[in-house]
Amino acid sequence: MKKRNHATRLDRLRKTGEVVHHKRDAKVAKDGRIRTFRLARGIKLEKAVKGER
Amino acid sequence: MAPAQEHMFDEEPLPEAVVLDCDFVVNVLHENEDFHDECARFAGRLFDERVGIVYSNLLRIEFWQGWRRAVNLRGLPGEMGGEPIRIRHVAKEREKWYALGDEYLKLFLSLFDRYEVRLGTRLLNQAVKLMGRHNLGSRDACLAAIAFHTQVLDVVSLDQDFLRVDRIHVWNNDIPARRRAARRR
Repeated sequence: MKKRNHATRLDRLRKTGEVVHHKRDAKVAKDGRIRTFRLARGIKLEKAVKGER
Repeated sequence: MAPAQEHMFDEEPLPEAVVLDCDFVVNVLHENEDFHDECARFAGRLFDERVGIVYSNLLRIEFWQGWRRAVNLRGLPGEMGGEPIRIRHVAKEREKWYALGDEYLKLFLSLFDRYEVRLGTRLLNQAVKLMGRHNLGSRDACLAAIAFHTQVLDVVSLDQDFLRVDRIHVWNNDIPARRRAARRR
């Protein structure tokens, strides 16, 4: 229910132009290949990158 | 008026979406910030569990200021810290440091399903009311207005002022209380 409330409200705001929705990087998970994305020492967030190994 | 409800970073379940405060993002991205490790781990949880993020279109500008403060107080992140600084070209060096922070921010945001809220007249009118009602600073009031307007009431913020805002769930890992205790010592 909570999720639906968020989604509905955000979707309505997107339609009025008050909110801009960006999907998680469009390339993510398209081919399932993952590289480790290091922002700095201590942070490793996995990011899928299309076309790169 | 009931205060906000605080949450620890290891609590379950995570919300479906959260509003991000700039201070948290700076702590995630600058490795020398006091709360970097725990904030970075929590960012990893948000990423792993595909939590959507909501932020204002002012985040980038606020982040520049937070990053500048972090670089001035805490030094450069490891990626650049080892490079020699050419004193004669210090303005050029600064350009590189700030561009790096901006690049970190863009990469970080791109990892999430995200909603960028544009601050318009309606939101600003709501924010000014919240400033008065909860004695908030203007940036905090804008963030609270975004939370109420989008109905995403979970806010990741290390700012203790948010604790005065009822109906908000603040994910802060008890950092405001620890900051207060550290200041008293």
